[in-house]
Amino acid sequence: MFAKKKRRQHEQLNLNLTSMMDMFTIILVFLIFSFSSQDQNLKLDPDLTLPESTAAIEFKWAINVNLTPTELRVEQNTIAKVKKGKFANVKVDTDKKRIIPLFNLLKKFKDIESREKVNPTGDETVIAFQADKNLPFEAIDLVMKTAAQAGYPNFRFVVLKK
Amino acid sequence: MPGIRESEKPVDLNMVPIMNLFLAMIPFLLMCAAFFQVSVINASVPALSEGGDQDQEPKKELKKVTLNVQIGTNGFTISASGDQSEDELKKIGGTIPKKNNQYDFDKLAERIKAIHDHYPKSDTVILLPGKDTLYDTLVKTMDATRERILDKRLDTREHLFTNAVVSSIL
Repeated sequence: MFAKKKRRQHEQLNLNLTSMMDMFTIILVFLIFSFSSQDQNLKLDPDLTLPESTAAIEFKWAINVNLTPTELRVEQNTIAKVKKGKFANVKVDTDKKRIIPLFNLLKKFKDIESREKVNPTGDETVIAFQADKNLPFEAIDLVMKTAAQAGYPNFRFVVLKK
Repeated sequence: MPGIRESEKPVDLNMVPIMNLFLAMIPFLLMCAAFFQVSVINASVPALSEGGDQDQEPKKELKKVTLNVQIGTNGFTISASGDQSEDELKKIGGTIPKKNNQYDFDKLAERIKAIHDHYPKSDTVILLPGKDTLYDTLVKTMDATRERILDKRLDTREHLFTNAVVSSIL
């Protein structure tokens, strides 16, 4: 009796992996279908809600300008604070309609661009503009006008595909 | 087992290497997975251009108009500019008031389609939102003026005014 018990302890336990394999296959197929080869230069800002659109143009390399309900950022660097859709604690030239620090930074980018090749695609550099869908046009207009004056009159509004 | 020969016994496949492969692939695909798709809309701001050859009179383009869509607090106001007569341009214009206090994007899309059918060479629309207009409204207006989706499943689209210029009301 004792010998029989010992033999049972040494028996190899076979796990049934079939159901686990099924699950993994389903997950794998789902993930392969949602695999994205989109440009990794675009980082979605978690602090803002993008508007939805029917547009179907793919993102290409661009300078990232993000306007959240609380901040204005260029390539993740905070340029100005935003309060209730208006820029706060930042120099704004109301006559020329430009945000001074944003203008200076974009002008610097433009100067670098004129000296060396920055845009890997070789096309004209544009602004990838991510803005919160509930912001008023007044704030958006000021950012766009500033960028245009610095030499970037073309934009790509980043939106979520419907 | 009596009666069953050795060759007829069910064979246990060694799943461990496949499982290892799956376990390596799943984290990689999870990192690259896009659970929402991002797209872009091309837009520009008005820019000053140097005058062309002043001696030559520009050729009249009668199948082309530049559309202006003003986004006001009460709805859309459409107007047009081009080489056509003043009366003809006036006929293109009009207003699309809000419906139940919401912008009537369907009506705007219909109107834009009708204008584009009449002037098929047109591609430029100047959008003029009010200072309190929400960015979401601007994007929806751009959608209504840019293209019309013919078949959502096949993703067939009819392009209308694809060149959007965003400006502000002076």
